[in-house]
Amino acid sequence: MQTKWVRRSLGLAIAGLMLATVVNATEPAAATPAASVMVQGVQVAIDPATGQLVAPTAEQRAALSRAMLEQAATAPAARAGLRGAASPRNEAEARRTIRTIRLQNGGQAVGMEVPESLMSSLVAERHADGSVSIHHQGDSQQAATEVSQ
Amino acid sequence: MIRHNVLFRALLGVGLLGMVGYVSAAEIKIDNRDVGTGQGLDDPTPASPVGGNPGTTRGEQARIVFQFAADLWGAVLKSDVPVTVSASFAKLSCTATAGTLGSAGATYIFGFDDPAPAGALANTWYHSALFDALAGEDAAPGGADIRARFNGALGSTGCLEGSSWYFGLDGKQPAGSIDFLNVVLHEMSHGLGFSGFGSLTTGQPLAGLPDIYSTFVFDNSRQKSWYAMTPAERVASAVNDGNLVFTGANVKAEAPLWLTPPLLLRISAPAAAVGDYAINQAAFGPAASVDNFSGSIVAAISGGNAEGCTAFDNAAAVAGHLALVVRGTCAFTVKVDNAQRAGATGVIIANNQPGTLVPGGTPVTPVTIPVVSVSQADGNKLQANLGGLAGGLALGSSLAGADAAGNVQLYAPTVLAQGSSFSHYDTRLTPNALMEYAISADLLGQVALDLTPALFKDEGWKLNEDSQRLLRCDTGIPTVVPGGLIVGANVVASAKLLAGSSASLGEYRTAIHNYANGLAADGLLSKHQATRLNACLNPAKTREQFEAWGIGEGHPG
Repeated sequence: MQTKWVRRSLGLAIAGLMLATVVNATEPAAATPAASVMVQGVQVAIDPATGQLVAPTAEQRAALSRAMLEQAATAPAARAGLRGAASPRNEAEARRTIRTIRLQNGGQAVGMEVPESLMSSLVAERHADGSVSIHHQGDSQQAATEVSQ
Repeated sequence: MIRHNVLFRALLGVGLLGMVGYVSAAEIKIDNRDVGTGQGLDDPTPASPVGGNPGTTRGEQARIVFQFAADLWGAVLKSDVPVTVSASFAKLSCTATAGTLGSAGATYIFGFDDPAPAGALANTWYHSALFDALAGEDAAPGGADIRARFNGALGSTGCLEGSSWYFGLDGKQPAGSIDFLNVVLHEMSHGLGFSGFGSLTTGQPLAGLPDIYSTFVFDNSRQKSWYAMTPAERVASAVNDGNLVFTGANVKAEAPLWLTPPLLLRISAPAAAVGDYAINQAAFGPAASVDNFSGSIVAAISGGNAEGCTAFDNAAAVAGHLALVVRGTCAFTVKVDNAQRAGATGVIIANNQPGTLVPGGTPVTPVTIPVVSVSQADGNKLQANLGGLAGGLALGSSLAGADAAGNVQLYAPTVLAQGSSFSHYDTRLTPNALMEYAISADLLGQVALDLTPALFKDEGWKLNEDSQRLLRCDTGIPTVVPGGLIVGANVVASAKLLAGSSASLGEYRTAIHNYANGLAADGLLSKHQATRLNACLNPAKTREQFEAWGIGEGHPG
């Protein structure tokens, strides 16, 4: 209901470049399981019955976490690509990129690369036993706020 | 409708007051990292034009969406220094039912030594693109300001099968598809300034310096700004649900233009329980509303308690009323099923422990009645006043997603969600905002960036709040107005896209006139603005636009 005014105010049917209809935020949530995905800090799920984005179930979040763990080995390759070099994985590595720069106006500034840990939807942790685990952003939070019992 | 009018007064007001003068829109360039890979942005798989996206391969369509998002943000923001976004698709973590969509963020951060330029803070981290805009020069020549990776395997075998990216520009994604434009706009926003850089597990600032985003964060419980707190206090504050707010003056001022009042449980009797109670909607069943959630409230009695885990002993008393059940012992879906079988018209689930609660789970039978939850404290109060207990959902007097002072809330769930906590608007915001951690299907990124431009303005970005130009021609349509409508930005982004995708000047003229007529027909332009836009689409002006953004009239085609 709260989004209706937005739709009304915008008109939203513009020659193939703007939209005509959007989902009513207060439409019934689906009872059927939905496929779920997550972006950096962004979690979305698709209800297979309605096709709308809904919150994923705990089971789907767990499956996603398992998939990430399985793909941990691919993380280094996934990080590569920035100017041909991997970006720093964590703050410790990022600190090594700190440098002082001189500005054209004579001023001075400090700069550094942003570590993957602050950018990616995945957070890798190397444990004392050498194993690596990957946590999906929001997993623990979701389990705490949206619970089934 | 009231807010509709507020926004449109702002829209038309700025348009009528359209200022004269060159506007230095930011140029946001896409660095395609997929060139030569045959994948992602280079994917040659044939595709039919969709939702205003004229691309004929999957790769071209993805590139068009990226560039359209870049043109929207580029129109809204001012900078004399080009912003570079490194973009690529890759196979990211995925299963048949779930997967990672992608990730993005600033590639570099910079901090000015003292003295900082006007409008900037010294010794404070700025996102690379914002730093460049403030400094007036590129602090990392040759490097991308923003990095964005997306899942190119989406929809393939073993990766969220049955789903796919939607590359349309109209927000009309079909069932099972994910609107790529909203995702790109969201991720680009993180890289432009919507993120803090400190550790939420140690409370320490990154490399010892504060960052510009976090300087605006305030904890209402402690009555302290982010950096006035100790590291331990910051760790606790990051999970202080409902009490972390963004104190920027522009976000606060524009919040009433976007946000609406929250839905509350308003108890009307007995006197001891009268008042408003915060609620959370369940993740299943029909949404509770003012229209379907009111009446007498009767506590369930089942097996000697109020948990509702077995058939209700007092089904006759519950029938036709709202049922109050307490969390515990069994799944929420079981409680609701028993309430439904007893004839309840809705269910209130009282938490049995501190913290917020969103009832979830997979119902074994269809849920046809609305379900909400209340806190443990509120549940206890309701249970202590069951005699004549009655009430229903109502709209509150404050704004959904803002505190009593009008500051907009940030996402700080009680259990830390790395990457989601802190650097997003709270899920309490209503309507949904682009920068909530969950991307909603009702977002309108192509025409509304809600409270994100205001936050950028607080951080130091300068916005193009004048009327949008098509080259040198003033359309009279504001690029962005308070509240985040970006009709002017859509006009220039659309003109560039249409010119760039038209095979001839005549084709461009037809397309841009159809587009302009659509804007007017849908009430997005005042008569004055429609007239001025039309003047910018005369034969001479459209020729200039086609020369600048298309292949040019003299091109052999």
